[in-house]
Amino acid sequence: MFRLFVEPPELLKVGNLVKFVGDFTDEIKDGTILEAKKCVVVNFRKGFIVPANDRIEILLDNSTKGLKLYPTSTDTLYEILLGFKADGSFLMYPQFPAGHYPFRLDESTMYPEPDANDYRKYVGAFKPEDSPIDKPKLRTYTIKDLEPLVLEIANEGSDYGKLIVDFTINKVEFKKVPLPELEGYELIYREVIHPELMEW
Amino acid sequence: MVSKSFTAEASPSAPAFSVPNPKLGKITKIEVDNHSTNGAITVMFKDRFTPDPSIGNPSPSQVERIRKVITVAQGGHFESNELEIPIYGDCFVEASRDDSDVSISMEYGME
Repeated sequence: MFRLFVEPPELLKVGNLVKFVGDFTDEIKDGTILEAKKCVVVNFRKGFIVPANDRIEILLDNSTKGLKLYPTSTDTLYEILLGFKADGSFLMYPQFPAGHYPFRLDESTMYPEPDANDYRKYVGAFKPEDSPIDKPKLRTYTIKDLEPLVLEIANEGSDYGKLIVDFTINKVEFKKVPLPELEGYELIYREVIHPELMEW
Repeated sequence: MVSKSFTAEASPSAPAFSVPNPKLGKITKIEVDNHSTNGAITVMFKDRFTPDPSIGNPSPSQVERIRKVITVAQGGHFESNELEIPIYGDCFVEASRDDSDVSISMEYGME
């Protein structure tokens, strides 16, 4: 799932351990620990022109309509930082799975409603300035066969607006670490939490 | 910044410049000199682009936005600096008539 940081987060490096929280795939189960053996950063940038008072959906997956930012191999993870530059007034709503807005508060009316004309429009919404293009603070992960991550973009302005999305994609290839090798060490690892488990 | 100069055309066949998809274009300076004897001239800076498919319009077609309109009297001069006129797609500069005695120059950049 998307996570917004106060400062740009560090990218994974060779030798870093990653612990997966939740069952991602048949091979990557809850508690799986993998070690990054190869990391390559690939940049990608795309612009979106959105009509006034309208919304578009950006799919990150490899479907026909998607941006194809999912790995095709089970031993690879894409760590993705998203940065934005906008001409216009935009709000952005993460969805996972598609159509479900996980960023909400406990009170029953405090959930995102992008087409509402009241305060719910602003619940769980990111703004482009939260993660500027030269200082990206919004991070997500993609893994082969994970359900589509969606970023819904709403143009609040009175005319067309253009939003540039810059993707910093850290391609991380893993090797499995046999548990006996880890015994006796204090493990320092990055947790990669299944998107469904990030909602609470 | 890039500078470009040309004479007035009513229906230019090509855009003055085009903005690639992952960029935002901005006109930062405009100058128009009307040395013509044919009277005042109006110059329009148009932005043509195709929006992305949206929930409200899943099959969009090309749209046009007039970003700036300038009318310069015969013998007159217009100059404006430090502009921030956004261009999303193709920038067309259309005048109210073809006139080789009207010169238009502009500066633009892309971010």
